Order: sequence, then C-alpha cells, then structure tokens
Amino acid sequence: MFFRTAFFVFALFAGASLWAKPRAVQSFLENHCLDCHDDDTQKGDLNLESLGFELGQAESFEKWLLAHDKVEAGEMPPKKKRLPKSDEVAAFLDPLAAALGQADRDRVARAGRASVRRLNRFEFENSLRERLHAPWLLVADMLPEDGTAHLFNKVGERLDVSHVQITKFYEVAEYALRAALNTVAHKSNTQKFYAREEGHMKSALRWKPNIQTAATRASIPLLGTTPQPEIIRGNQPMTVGPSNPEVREQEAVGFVSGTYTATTKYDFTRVRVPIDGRYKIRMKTYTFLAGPNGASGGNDHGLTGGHKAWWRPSRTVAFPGTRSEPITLYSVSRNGDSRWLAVYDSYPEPSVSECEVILKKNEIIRPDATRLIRTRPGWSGNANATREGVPGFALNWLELEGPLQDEWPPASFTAVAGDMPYKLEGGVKLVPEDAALDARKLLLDFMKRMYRRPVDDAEAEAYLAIFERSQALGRDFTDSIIAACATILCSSDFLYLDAEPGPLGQRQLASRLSFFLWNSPPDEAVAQTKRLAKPKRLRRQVDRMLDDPRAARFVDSFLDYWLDLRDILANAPDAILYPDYYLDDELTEASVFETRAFFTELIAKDLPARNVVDSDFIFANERLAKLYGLEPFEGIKLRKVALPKDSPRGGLMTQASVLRVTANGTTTSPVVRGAWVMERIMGLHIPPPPSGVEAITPDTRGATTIREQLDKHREVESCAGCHSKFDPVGFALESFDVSGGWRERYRSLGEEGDRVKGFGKNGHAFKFRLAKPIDCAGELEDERAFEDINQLKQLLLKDERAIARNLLHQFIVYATGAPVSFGDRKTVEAILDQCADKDYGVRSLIHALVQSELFLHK
Amino acid sequence: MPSFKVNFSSTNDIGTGIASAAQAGTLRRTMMGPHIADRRTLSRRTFLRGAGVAMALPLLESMTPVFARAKQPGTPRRMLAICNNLGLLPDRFFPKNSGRDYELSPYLNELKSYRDDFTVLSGVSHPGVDGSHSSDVSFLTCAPHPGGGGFRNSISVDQFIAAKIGHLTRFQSLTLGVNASVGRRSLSWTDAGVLIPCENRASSVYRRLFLQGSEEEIERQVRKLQLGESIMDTLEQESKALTRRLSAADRDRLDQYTTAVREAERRLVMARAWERKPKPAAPVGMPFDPSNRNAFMQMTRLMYQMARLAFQTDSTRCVTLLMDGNNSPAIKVAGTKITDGYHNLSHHGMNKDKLTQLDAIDREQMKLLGELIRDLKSVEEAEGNLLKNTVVMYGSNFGDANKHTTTNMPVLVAGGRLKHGQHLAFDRTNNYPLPNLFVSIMQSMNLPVDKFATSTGTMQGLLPA
Repeated sequence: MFFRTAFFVFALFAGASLWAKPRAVQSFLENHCLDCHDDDTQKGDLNLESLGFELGQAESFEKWLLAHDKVEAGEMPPKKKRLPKSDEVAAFLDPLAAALGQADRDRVARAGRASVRRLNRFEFENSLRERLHAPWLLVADMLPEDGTAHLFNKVGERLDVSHVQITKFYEVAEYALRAALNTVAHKSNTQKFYAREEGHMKSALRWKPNIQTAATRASIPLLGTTPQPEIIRGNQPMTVGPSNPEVREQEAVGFVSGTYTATTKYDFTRVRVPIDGRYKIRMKTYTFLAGPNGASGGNDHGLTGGHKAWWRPSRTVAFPGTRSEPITLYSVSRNGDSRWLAVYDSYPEPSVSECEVILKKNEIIRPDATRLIRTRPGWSGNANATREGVPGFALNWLELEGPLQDEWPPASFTAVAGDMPYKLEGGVKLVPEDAALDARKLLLDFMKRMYRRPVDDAEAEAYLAIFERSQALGRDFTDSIIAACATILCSSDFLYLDAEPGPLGQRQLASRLSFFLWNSPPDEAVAQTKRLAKPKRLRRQVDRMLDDPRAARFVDSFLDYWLDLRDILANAPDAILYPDYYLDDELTEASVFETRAFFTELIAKDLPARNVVDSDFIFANERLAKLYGLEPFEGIKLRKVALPKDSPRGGLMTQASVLRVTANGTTTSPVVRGAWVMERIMGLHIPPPPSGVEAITPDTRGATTIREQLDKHREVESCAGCHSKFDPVGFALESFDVSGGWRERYRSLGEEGDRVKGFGKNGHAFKFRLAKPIDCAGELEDERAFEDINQLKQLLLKDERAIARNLLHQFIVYATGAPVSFGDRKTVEAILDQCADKDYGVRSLIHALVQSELFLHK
Repeated sequence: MPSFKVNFSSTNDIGTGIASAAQAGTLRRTMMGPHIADRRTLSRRTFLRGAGVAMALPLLESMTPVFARAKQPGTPRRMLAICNNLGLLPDRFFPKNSGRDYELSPYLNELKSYRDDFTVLSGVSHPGVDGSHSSDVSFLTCAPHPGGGGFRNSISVDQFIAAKIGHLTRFQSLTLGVNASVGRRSLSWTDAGVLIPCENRASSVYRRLFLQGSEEEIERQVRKLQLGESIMDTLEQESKALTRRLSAADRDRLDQYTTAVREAERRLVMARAWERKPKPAAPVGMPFDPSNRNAFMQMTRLMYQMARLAFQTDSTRCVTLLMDGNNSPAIKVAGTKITDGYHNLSHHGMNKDKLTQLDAIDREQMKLLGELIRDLKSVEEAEGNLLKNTVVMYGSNFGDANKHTTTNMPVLVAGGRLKHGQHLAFDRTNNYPLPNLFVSIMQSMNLPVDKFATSTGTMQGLLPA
C-alpha cells in the first residue's frame, strides 16, 4: 500500500513539472508564516516568500524540511501568534511531507543514501593488518587525520583525498609491505634484562650534587625486602652477576615514585626490538614498604644525616609491601614518544606477570607505578606516605620474547611473497626463478588477497608494468614487487568502498557489515556466506562478529568519535586547582577503559538503550571506585559494580571520561556540557552558536559562580531560545568537577573560601580553596523541574524511545556513512518498533538496523 | 592482564617524513616528458596584463618555466606567517592609543628598536571563526566554525600563494612547527582542505635546504621519482573502470582522487627537475635540535633562522610556522621558573603567579620576533634588504586564550612593501575582517588577487599609496 501511494504521489509531482509548491502549503505560509519570514523581515535568516520549491536541491530541501519539522513539533508558528487549527496544520504538513519524502526517495534512487567513500586511516590500517596477517602493524598515525561529518570519520563527503594523502598512503603501504617481508629475517628469541644492570636504575642510586639529593626520587637496591646500603656507598658491586643465580634472582631495585621523565624513570633501555611485531613481555616485580624518616640532602646519599622527614623513604629499612601497586607499561620510541602497552597489578609477593604486546622496531620498555608520587619542583610531601612508611615498587627483571610467529615462514611473509625462496642479504631478498612469471603470479595473488572483490587475471597487467618499470630503472626484484604491491594498495579499487544505488551486492554487504562491526574488511566466513542478505544468515553473522575480539575495534572507534574519547588527553587537569588529578595517568587510563567496558556490556547483554542515560551498574577499578565514592577495593582491573540506590553515577554522562572531555582541565561550563549531553546522548539538534558572541568562562577567583554569570544572559530572549534546551542539563552536571569527581563547592584560587589539607600527586600541598556552593537544580524546557543529577536522569529516562532513537541515529551514520534523512525516518521508527519489546536492547538495535533497508541498500 | 592496544593519541613529534617529492613544488607537466627546461615560455607578466585581476588564476601549461628564477625580473617577494596558538596577554600586547604616534605597549616595548618596521593591528578577527583551540587550523584559511560539526577546512593563504609562485623555487612552501602535534595541527592546508604536516626539526629543514646527496644518491632519487610518476599514472588509469561504474554523484568523489593523483605526479616531475640542480651553499652550519620539548623558545629561534635561510637562498618564498603551545610541556624561559604546562598557564584564571609566568613567556616571544626582524634586515638584497622583500605576519588565533575568545586577535605585521610604524586600531566590539590583511599582503607581493576567503577588500591603511 505504501509503495502504491508513493508511486501515485510521484506521478502527481512528476506530472507537474518537477516540483510545484502544493496550494495548501502556500496558503498556510501566507496565513501563518510570512509575517516574519517574508522578503522584508526574514526572521532567523529564513525567507519563505522567495524560497523556491526546488526539493531536488539540497539547500532548498533543508529549508523546507526545517519548516516542516518546526511546524510538526509545534514550535512554529510561535505561541504568541494566532495558532493554526489542527486540520490546517495537517493540510500543510501532509503534502509537504509527501513532497519531501518523494524528493528524498528520488535522491536515493539516483545516488543511494550514502556516497562512495575512501577507507579512513584506521580502516586502512586494519585492512593491512588483516589481509597481510600482520596484526602488529601501527600505521594509522603515519597518515593525516580524516575529516568527520555527523561526528564520525565514516562519511564519504569528508573522506577527502589530496596529493598529500596519496603520497602518504603510498609511503605507508611500502612501509607495511617491507615490514611484512622482514619478519622472515628474525626468528623469535628471548632476552632477559636484570634491573640491576639498567642505567636508569643504577643512576638513581646515588646523590648527584645540586641535581638529585632526595630519597623520594632515588632508588633502593633490595634483596627481597632487605636494602643493601653498601651498594649505595659503592662498597659492594651492584649485582652478584651470573656467579650466583639464586641471589641474582632476588636482586631488585626499588622506587617509591612513579615515572616523570625529567626526574625519575626506570626504563629498560637495553631492550632490543629488532622489528615491528608481537612480543611477550614477562616481568618479575613486587611491592614493598620503605621505612619512614628518610632524608634529603646530606653527603652520604641519604644513608645518614640530611634533613629527615617522616614522609621520606628510608634507604636502610624496608618491610614487605602492604598492598598491590598498579603498573602500566609503555613503549618509548627514540624520539621520546610513548605508547600505552598494558597494565597489571604487582603484589607484595614477588611474581612474574606476562602480557602480549605490539612493539615497533627500536622501542624500549617503560614501566610506571602509576599510583605513586610524581615529584615536581616545590614538592613538600607524599600523599601515599604514612607513619609506617612509604609504599614502593621493586623490579627484578624483564624478559622479552619475540617477534612471535604462529607459523614459519611467518604468515605476513607468505601473504606478500607466497612460497618464493628468499635470501637474507642486506634485508630480505626474494629469489625468483623466472622474474616476469613469478612477478605476475605474486601480483595476481596479492590483488586477490587485498581486493574485496573477484579479480580478473588481466587486471594484473597494469601493476606488472610498474614492476617492469621498476626493474628497468635498476631496482631489484623485491623492491620492484614492493613498488607494484604498494601501488595496488593505493588504487581506487582498494581505497574506496564502492556500491551502486539500490540493494547492495553480496560483497558490498559483507564489506559494510565488516567495516561496521570490526572496522576492517570481511573475513572468509562472511565473504563466503551465500545470500548473506537473508535475515537468519545476517543475524548469525552479526552475532558471530560481535562476539569476536575484533568487535572491540567497533566499540573503541565508535566511542572515540561519538563521545570524543579520542580527546581524553587533550584536557589535562590543572596543577594548582586539581593537584589530586594532575599527573594521574591511572585515572585517565581507567576512565577510557570504563566507558569501553560499559558499552561492551550493553552490546553483549543486549541491555536497554536507556542505560546510556542511567544504569544500576558501572565498571570500576580501585581508582574509579575512589573517584565515585564507592565501597573501596584494591586493584587495577575493572569489575562490574552494582550501584547504591542514591548514587549519582550510572549511564554515560556521569562517567569520568565524558565529564573530562566536556571540561577543559581547569573549569567546567554548563553550556558546553549541557549542549554536549543533549546532542550526543539525547539527539537534540543544536545549531552552532552565533559568531561574535563571547563565550562566558568561569572565573577561578571564586567570587562569582558560572551560574551567576550565565543568569544575566539567559534572561535575554534571543539567547534563551536555544540555551533553555541545554543549559539546565549542564547545571545538573555542575556537581561534577573537571575529572568527574563529585563536588559540593567550586574550587577557587582566590582569597575566598576554605583551605583544604592534602598533597597532590606532584607532592605539592593543596593551594586551592573551596568557595561558593554548587547549585545544580534546574528546569527543562518543558518546565519539568529537577533538584540534582539523579532527578534529571529520571526526567530524561521518561522518553526511552528518544534515547534509543539517538543511539540508532549514531549507529546509522557510523555503519552506513550517511545521516538519517527525511525519507529514512519511517524506517527508523519501524526499527524502533521492532525493538520496543526488547526495551530497545543495544544489540537488538544493531540487529534490526542491519536487517533494515537503510543498511541493505547503498 | 589485558594486552590490547588503547588508542591514546600519541603526541608524536617525529620529524615528519614529508616526502621531498610531495613538497617540492608544482611544475605543470608538459606533454613530452622530461625535457621541460628548454620549453619556450610565455611571459607571465604579458599574460597577467591580458588576464586582468583574477582569483585562483589557473596557470596555463605552456606558461610556467621550470627554472624561472634567472628570468624573473626584480627581487623575489616572500611571506612568513607565524601563529602562536596560545596567544598573548591582551592588555599587555595591545597599545592604548592608535595611529603613528601610538605609545608602545609593555610587550611591544621589547621591539622598540624596530618600531618603524612593523604595524600592530587591533580589533581584527576572522569572520565566523570560533571553536576554541581548534581555531588555529583556520588562522591562515579563515574557514568559519572550525569547532563545529561538519567543519571543512579550505586552502590556507600560504598554499594559495604557493600555487601561484611556488614553482619558482625548489620548495613550493615550507610548513614548520614548534612542538606541533603532527597530523593534528598545522597552519597549511591544501585546496581540498587537507592538512599539510608540520616539520618540527630545524635540522631536517636544514638538510632539505642545503645537503646535497652524492651523485649516486641523486640518480637513485631520480629513478625513484620516475617510478613514482609511473605509479601515479597507473593509479589514474586504473581508477577509470571504477569511475565508469559509479553514479554521477559518486563520480565527483573519484574525480577528487584522480585530481590528487595527477597533482602528486606533477609534483614528482617537478621534484625530479630540481633533483639534478645543485642546492645552494649553506651559509651556516647544521643546527642542533634540542632533545627536550621544553626548549620551545630555542626551537622557535632555530625555525626563524631556517625561514630566513630559506628566503635568503631563494629556496622557497612561503613559510608558515605554528608554535603549538597546547602540545608543549612546562617550557624553559631564561630568567623565570615556569612550573606548569603552557596550556594550563594560558588558563590563568587571573591567578597572579600564572600571569607572571605567562608575561615572561610572551616577552620572550617578542624578543625572538625582534631577533628575526633584525636578522632579516641584516641581509642585503638587490632592492633593499631581506625584510623589505619579506612580509612577516605574527599573531594568534586566540584573542584571549584564558577565555578561548577568537575575536580581537593579536596581529603584528613586519617588513614587505607595507606602511609601518603605526597601530591600526579597529573596532574592538565589531571586529574588522582580518582576511583583508591577507589580500593586502598578496597585493604587496605583486600577486593579482582581490579576494581571499571572507575578505571584503584590502586592509585600510596598510598598502602604500
């Protein structure tokens, strides 16, 4: 029936020379709109009098759509004008909707909903990882950042390509191919590095006059929990060495400090990573408690004399550790960049921890005991110290095994070189029998491996020509194969996800599914599923893919863009105002993991979409539990925690990650946070702020609150129009500081307010004060009032469908590369209807989306 | 223990591997292959006279000589654009009164020896450019709403200029940075709105400018470029089959790809032409890159020197420099203890201690700028000195970093053929469009341009009558 109507309308309009403005629309305009939106007034920059009814053009379409939506929502005509009767409204909306719908369907029939698009840099990286069997490739950061539209890096219109990108893609492809081949030159081996032999650990033992004369920054040679001061004095060698393996195994170096590169670090700098690859790191470590009353200064390296203080660690007395310490491992490149690798808990009992990581050539390993102090100039205490002593972390040794290969020759080598013989002569050199013949075979195999479509034998010719040209220019077989293969990886056939208007073909559907749920090209199982579009088969594939570890890429990438988690490091907390968060990498790290774990759980358990607004559980580790004021527990590992009834936590907007990316490290703004939450979580469209209006920023002197500053502006009608939609939500979130901690009062750096005692992670005594109280009450646009964040969440939860609709919208952009258009709205509602009895379960939404026309058609 | 990768964006400050090929300039490829240097060319001036004033003037294939330097009359005109993306404390930078007799502000007092060599602007900004920290991407492009969803950047003024005169030098342009977050931050953007990564190491700039490869290296490089040309050519050919299958709307996307590939090829041809031409002799030794990112000021000084050397040897005529304070730790300033990261300091919230530190940083910025002006002035050229032939624009996307305001941007213009020794004070409430400055700069470089981005004309009071 629906189709027949559509056809009828189409015939009607097609007959009336493209688009004719329906008469009912015109008369409604004259009666209700043109007073303000005519040639003369053009209120809000909208002139409906001269606006052509050219729905085939995007600009005109958008304006008519706006008119439709404003009238439909009852926002226009404004309440103070004469209001149209409901049949008048219907007489306006119905033909307008029909025309808009038809224009949209025409567009989709002509071009499809989404445009052809290039792979973004992460998809490019993942494609190489998967198809070259090189999961250790790290190349996305070598490519320029991609543009985003509708929040995501998945939209064709913004995935531009310039000569810079082409050049970079080629460079990266060459790099990846060379790395893939190089694996065959390096058999896995195991290297062991004793802490006692590492330069950083040794150099931190002794005082350096005028540079380092403080026990807190120094290391302690430990045999179990017994300090060895004679080593510090230089009367005893640093290690017994291989002469006594039993003692050597117990030798350790202890620190009471986290890593801060300028002052304290305990890198394993002698580690040699021969090539990019997968490695196993094993570390033997434990925790200890250095005795209290250590010294700074003195001329005996703090062993005797100097200025004693209870919070400084003794260098001669130590006890078994009283708790575990979280240890983060980073890799550090030669130019000093560091990359997160893994995290584990080290316990009082010496034990070996193992993890598998990806390392790049020539990187070294940096352990960091993240809970410990990171001293900065001016420090005068240690928040971790008690009268019993100062907690510390001791390292025995690190073992590096790799590069790990599951088969030999390594799969990444075979992916490029097949079963060709090779020799190792200044790198890996393939040894052809018949260069031309071998090259043809390699290139054809390579194209079949890399392209997401069948390949015709003749297609290899063009790339074979590159191989030949390269040979003619004097380059050897291997370099020439690499050049030809790199060219294939820059070809439009590899770089672009194509499709023709209408239903997607088998391979295009497989690609769309895979780039949605794995951010990478399809594997055999999905690519080979016959008639994939059949509902049962799709369902089975979606479940399989969501349960695969690669689905983590979807969660990470989706959240990175939807919630701006990729900017988590951009807003470091202020050193003076928030010394308790400053340098707290443990918290930063945990915040991101929490949100990922939370969203993963929603998908895994098909939990209702309303959980993004409020949930009765969250994920937390020790640090987060402390931040959230939960029952304390120990350990870095995230666990699912049931929330107490009155907890302000639960849902996304009160997670530390979100609260951090919506603040600037120093202050919070209800405007920014409110708009962010209403847009990202509730799906409200918020137009960009008018230019030339100065943003109101909080004053850290404590005399006025942001609310007082904003109140003046909110009285202005032109501001209130938009701001009343989101500022109130921001006010409720004022209960949370820049890192997501709960607060009752604003912190200030001025003279007002009360001092707080304590020491920051940097060892500085708190300087901030607690000034004016937070007022987190507000009233939504529809005049429903709330006292605090909990009440606000309850109000927002009233419209579960809106929450689900927004999440679905985000999925649609991410999965299909196009936003929800007017013509898609019915399908969206149909998807929501299907999921209603599942309380809009997040996994159900994904299933229903994948089964819908939005996903199955271009 | 988890072993998966977290996508914490790394603060990667590797000297970027900008392929020399990609940066080397635009030679319009002629049809016949490598023997381009002998081609007879049409005089650019003759052509311009006929064409009148035009924006984004397309260069005709036959018009562009390869090594036009010898034939180009007059001294080259250049531009150096500098952005300090955390700005300056406004009340200490802007002078109180306007005109030629303005009184130097505390900051400008650091430049008092060069009072007649620069003009300070106030009450200027880029129309519609908001968006907090991301606004530095629009500093030279003027693209509005950089913080907004669906933002797309446009060509930056240096690339706009480079497209016109870049082919005259070995490097079409240089994009430099101090601690610039590679791949995320840059002043230079292509006509497709794509970021051109910053070079953060002075030694790499030096190498590119002066170090000649051996005969063998050059030949190897030439062969590499020749192969590159074939590759680009193949990519273009091979995209045709896909293009044919696509709907009309999608063909636009593929057209962009083909254009990019062709452009890459053109640049390879140009690079190859330059490859065999000897590089200029280096007037000074190789700079030593500080190993620590806190040596922000020293890195700035070195980059200023590299820009000067590049101009002096006519290796390029367009340089941009982004000082990325956001991406910097607590930096070193002689004589003052800086305790906090640059970005955190910029959110001073009127804290006295922070203001004192910022003051020291800002003054150091001014001193370095003074050194740059001094150095440019000291190089004699056929017509005057290097400063006279080089427009230096120094400024910030932030009017006030503390408040994240992008209006009332601090801007100072020195050198070139512009009127100086004045404070051009525009309306602080209703700002004057800064893009007009770009038009004036280009006109002072003898470029036939009357509009750039959101400009409304040329800047009042800057061009000599």
